[in-house]
Amino acid sequence: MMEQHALKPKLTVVGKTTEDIIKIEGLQVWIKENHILNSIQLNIPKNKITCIIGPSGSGKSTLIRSMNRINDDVDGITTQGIINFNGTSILEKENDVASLRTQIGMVFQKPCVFPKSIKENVLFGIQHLKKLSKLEKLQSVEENLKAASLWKEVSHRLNDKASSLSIGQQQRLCIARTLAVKPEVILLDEPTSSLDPLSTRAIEDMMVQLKEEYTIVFVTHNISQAKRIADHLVFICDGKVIEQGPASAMFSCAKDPQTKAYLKDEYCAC
Amino acid sequence: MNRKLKNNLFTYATWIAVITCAAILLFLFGVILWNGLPAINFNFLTEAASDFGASGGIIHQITGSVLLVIFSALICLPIAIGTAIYKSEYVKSKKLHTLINTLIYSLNGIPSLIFGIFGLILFVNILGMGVSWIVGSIILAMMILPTVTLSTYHSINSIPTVYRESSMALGLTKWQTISKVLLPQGFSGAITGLLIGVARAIGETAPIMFIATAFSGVAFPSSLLEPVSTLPTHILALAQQATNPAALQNAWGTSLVLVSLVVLFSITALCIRLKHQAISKR
Repeated sequence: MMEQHALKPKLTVVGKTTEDIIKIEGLQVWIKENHILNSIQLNIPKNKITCIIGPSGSGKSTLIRSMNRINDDVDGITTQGIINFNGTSILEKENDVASLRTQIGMVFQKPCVFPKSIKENVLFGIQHLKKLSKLEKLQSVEENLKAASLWKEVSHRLNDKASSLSIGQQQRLCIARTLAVKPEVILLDEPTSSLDPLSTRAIEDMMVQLKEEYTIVFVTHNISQAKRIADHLVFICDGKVIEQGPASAMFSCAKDPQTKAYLKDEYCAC
Repeated sequence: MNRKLKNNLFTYATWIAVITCAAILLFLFGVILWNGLPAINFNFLTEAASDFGASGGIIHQITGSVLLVIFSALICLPIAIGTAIYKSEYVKSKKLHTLINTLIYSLNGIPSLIFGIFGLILFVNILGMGVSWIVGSIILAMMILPTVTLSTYHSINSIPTVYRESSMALGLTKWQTISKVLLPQGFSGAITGLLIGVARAIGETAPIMFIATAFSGVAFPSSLLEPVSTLPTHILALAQQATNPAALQNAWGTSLVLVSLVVLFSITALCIRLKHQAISKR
């Protein structure tokens, strides 16, 4: 089991370095009368960390929340355009959103554990999708808590209430719970903004490890965080993509003056 | 008037209001306890009534009342939970929300006697069910429906959106989210509302006196379609023979039993609510 785990990433990294797993074309989103996203054109490369940065209120969250259609339940929302995931258009009305979300998982800003034990929280999603034997359950719990670098801290108290964990641990538990469903893409909406620096670092390190197996889309308003982890960078401001490209290139010499100003001073004039 | 004096004055005014409120309750309890306690003994609680209630006990009345409210709770709960889920999770339009609210509050505002008349006409006469305790349970269920619905709705609706989104982001369907996340957390609200509703229903006289109860000659019902005797209607019957000191004594005793049951339901509701608060505050 563990050997497979170690081999798999190497295989995936080789052939698929430049393939885009999500392609967004002409995405427009309104919430009631407010035009939140305007003609978004965006590619998410596979097995990379894509960081979406931008000032608050620029539409980062709305954008990432469109990718697994969790926005569907927002009151008064209108979405137009195309989001292609693995070649299928996901915005079609008749698509099964529940099964889409098993392929594109999501972690939210505020950690939200269910009022159950740590073990039950990890299994919460997966056990509603398929029947697991007792052994499979234990394996899944261990494997995913290890992947979320939480196993060492909680392995001796898996039956404790999840709410007894610290906020940083709770967020890692939320990530473990998402990994358990085995998605291809993980969306993270400012997952570290309510965490202490140590927990933040733990999650950043985890992201770098996870990208070998998963595609990661990471929304953050913290530029130095994006600098630490991003392979691909998207800068959006006022509902528009201002610039996107490989992170190293953008950080060293951004083409757009707005991007330059934002990356330097966290200030955006748009 | 200077600001400080005004401030103190209003503080005292609120104190007086609270004390008045508590005093009324304590006075009522005191009178009922003082007059009712001498009537209470083991035989009173376990024997059947005789001599139109002036002697004997009230076991049939206790079981009649409890039977009525238990079945009204069972009838009411699924409808209330269904309405609350629909209102909280499926209704998006503000207009529809207002309409549902208006309907629920109107149902709550209907005088209890009207429920009784409605039951008499529909169930007893038109549907020919006769005077029976099951009709009483149905009518009481209708009466407490708004209380239970609103309490359930508030407890489901107050669960933060992030719980719904976290569940759906894991690939659970809407129904799975409702049944695995929202209902377990909202259930205590439903039970609290139910106990408050039941505490009210058990003291109601007007809606059931024509449709579910008989004043004398009843025993334990052996089928759905038999009348029972209940605590409030028994008090009514005894109060009408108040010139007989023995009947009056038993009326006070029955009142004490009724009030104790109401207090029991209310305290249980309070305990569940406190326990739930402790969980949700974490």
